[in-house]
Parts: sequence; C-alpha cells; structure tokens
Amino acid sequence: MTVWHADDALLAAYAGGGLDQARAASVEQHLTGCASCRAAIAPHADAALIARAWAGTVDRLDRPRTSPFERLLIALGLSPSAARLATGASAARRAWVAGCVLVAGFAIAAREMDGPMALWFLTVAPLAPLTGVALAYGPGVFSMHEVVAAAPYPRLRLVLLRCLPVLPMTVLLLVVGGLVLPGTAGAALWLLPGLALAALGLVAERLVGVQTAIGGLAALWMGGVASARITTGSVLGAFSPTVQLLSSAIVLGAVCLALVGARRTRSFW
Amino acid sequence: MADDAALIGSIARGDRDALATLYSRHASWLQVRLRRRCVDDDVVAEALQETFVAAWRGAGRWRGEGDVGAWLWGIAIRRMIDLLAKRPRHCPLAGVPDPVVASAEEQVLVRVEYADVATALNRLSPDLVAVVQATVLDGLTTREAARLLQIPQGTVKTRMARARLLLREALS
Repeated sequence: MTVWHADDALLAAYAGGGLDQARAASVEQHLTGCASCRAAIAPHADAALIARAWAGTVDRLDRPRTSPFERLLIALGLSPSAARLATGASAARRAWVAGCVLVAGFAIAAREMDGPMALWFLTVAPLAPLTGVALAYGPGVFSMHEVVAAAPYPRLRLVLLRCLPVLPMTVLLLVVGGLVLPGTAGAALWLLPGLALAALGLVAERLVGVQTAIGGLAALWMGGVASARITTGSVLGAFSPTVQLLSSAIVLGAVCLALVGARRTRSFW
Repeated sequence: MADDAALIGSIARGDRDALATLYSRHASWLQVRLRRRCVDDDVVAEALQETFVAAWRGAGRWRGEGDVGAWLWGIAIRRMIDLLAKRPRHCPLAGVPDPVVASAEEQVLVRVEYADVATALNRLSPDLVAVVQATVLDGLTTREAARLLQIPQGTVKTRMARARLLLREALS
C-alpha cells in the first residue's frame, strides 16, 4: 500500500505545468497506481474538456459499427460516406446472396442435365445480378431509398457503388463453382452479360423505375436468347464472343464514366 | 464500491454505467497527463474519447494483470500518438523547445555534476528529457517515441544513449 500521497499544492503545480521534470515524472508514476490521488487531481483538470470528450465517447459508442466489408472499401480509398452508401443494403444483400447460391446450384444441375434445363438456366442466370443489384436498393427493401433518391449524387457513380457489394459474391461463386466442380467453368459464360445487364438496369432504374427497368431488360434479354436459338440453333448463340465483347464494353464504359464523373465531383464526396 | 478491475468486467458485459464510472475516476488524471504532452486541447479531447471507446471495445481482452490506470494510460498515449501522426503540424508538444533553445544542451553538458538522479534528470536538455520521458517513464517503444516527438527513430536512439551517458556520469 502507498502511504505517501501527493498534497493539493503538488498536484496543482503538476497540473499547471510548473513542476520540474523529475518531480512531474514521480507524480505521474504515483498517479498511475493511486486511486485517491487520481480523485484528488480532478479539481485541477479541465472539466469542460472532459465533459466534451465524454459526450464524444457516448456518441461514438451509439454510432453503428462499420462492417468489415465497409472498412475494406474505405481502405481501398473510398470515402466513408460512399462506403456506407454501397453497403447500406446489407439485409437485402444477404437475401440476394442466398438467391445467387440457388442460381449457382441451378447452374451445376443444368450442366449435369443439359437440354431444356440448360436453356432455362442460361436464359435466367444473367438476370440474377441485374435483379440482385436493382432490387437490393429498390424502394421497400433499401431503407435509405428515399434519402438516396433525393440526394444530388453522380448517378453512374452510385451505380458502380451499388455493384461493389454484389460483384465479389458473383465472381466468387463462379470461381469456386468452376474450380470445385469439373465441367462447370462454362457457367462463367453468363457473368459478363449479367454484369452488363446489371449496369444497364441501374441506369434505367433511375429513369423509368425499378419494375419497368428490370421487366424491360429481362424481356429484351429473353428475346435475344430466343432469337439466338432460332438463328443459330442453340442458346449458346446468345453468349457468342460478340455478345461477350459487347458486354465487356458496357461494363468498362460504365466504370470509366463513373471514374470520370468521380474525378469531376471529387470535391463533393 | 466496485474496484476498477470489477468495472472492466462489467464493461466487458456491456454495462454502460460501469464505463461512466470508470470515466469519472480516470478522465481527470489522463487529461492532465495528456495535456502535459500536447498543448492542443482538441487532440487531448479526442485521445481521451478514443481511449474510452477502445476500453469499451477491448474490455473483454483485459487479462486482469497490472493496474487499470496503467492499462488506460497505455491506450491513451498510443491513441494520442496516432492522432498526432494524422496532423503533424498542428500540435506543438508541450515542453519540447524549438531548435534555437536546444543549443542550451551544450551548457548542460558541462554543468552536469550532481549526484542526485532527480537533479541530473532536471539538468538534461529538454530534448533529452522528452526522449527519456517517452521511452522510460511512458514505456513507449523507440518507434512510438519517434512518432510522438516527431523525430526519426535514429535520433530517439542517439538522444537516449546520450541521456544515459549523462545520467551515468552525473550519478558516478
């Protein structure tokens, strides 16, 4: 037990910065371990600053914690607000991931069966990212929908932001599926058309609304697949190199435009 | 009244009142001690705040070894170093003189002739005392001390070596 305690004059001198180095160091070492002297120094501390720091502490604890994915996005150079915007629909994203797993399972089953199942899968699968991205941020699902819709924010940048949480899952599913199961690498065929549809869908969503955008693009895509079947005799015609190239161009274009727009509006985010 | 270790246990279970009690017991001396190392009140307030946020989140990892005060100080000084690193130009350190005054070290070199450790410490130049304080008294690593004082790590080492030499001479 400590028998010696710092008297008030010593604590006052220490708090006021008037103590020499050696005595200040000795007071500090004593304070680290002595509760009664810690209480005695309170009158010499800055009460306003301490109250302010406590208010800040409570505020920080009440704030929702950032998810690991959000922190990753921030580490990659995204501003905290943009990261929150991209990850805001986490609940909807979970539902979408479950849906995506189902689609992947469907893909594997379709590979095994071939025939009419494969036709249906290849027709439907590219629509999965589109519906996933668009629906995850649609009204009624995405809690911040009204706020975001009213915010003056670069639209294409928003599109790209919204794709961020969805795309890694898609790619992961395809890569894992392709590696684990022999013969399923072909499932990757629908990735690029899927991404292109998602990008188009998000642009269209801002113009004509979610339902119309998804419905219209889905109809367009299915029509394309059907016509490919008629003209080339196989649904795979809809996944020809030309289509893949066009899809890449759309995705790349969206990325470039978003980056240009981002640079132009850098001061705003 | 629950002791500090029991408070940490309650905090680990999510008791906000326990954190408030811990804050009321420790904020004052931490504020004074941080303030002695940094004259910018905003940095001190933010370091204090981050210390207790870290204590709230890290309470479950406290192993019950040593004093809670020492644990909190260890967090506080490191948080302040991080904050200072983020805005290096805005926070002149309390007690560290500008380079012009540092030439007083030459005078100190010839005047150290005291056999008393406290006097010897007080006779060291402010540059050297800052290094001794950071590494020996605050228990920082060379790297952390370098970030706190905003000098290269090599300088921390040479100043520490010089301080050690001067203290040894003064005490022999």
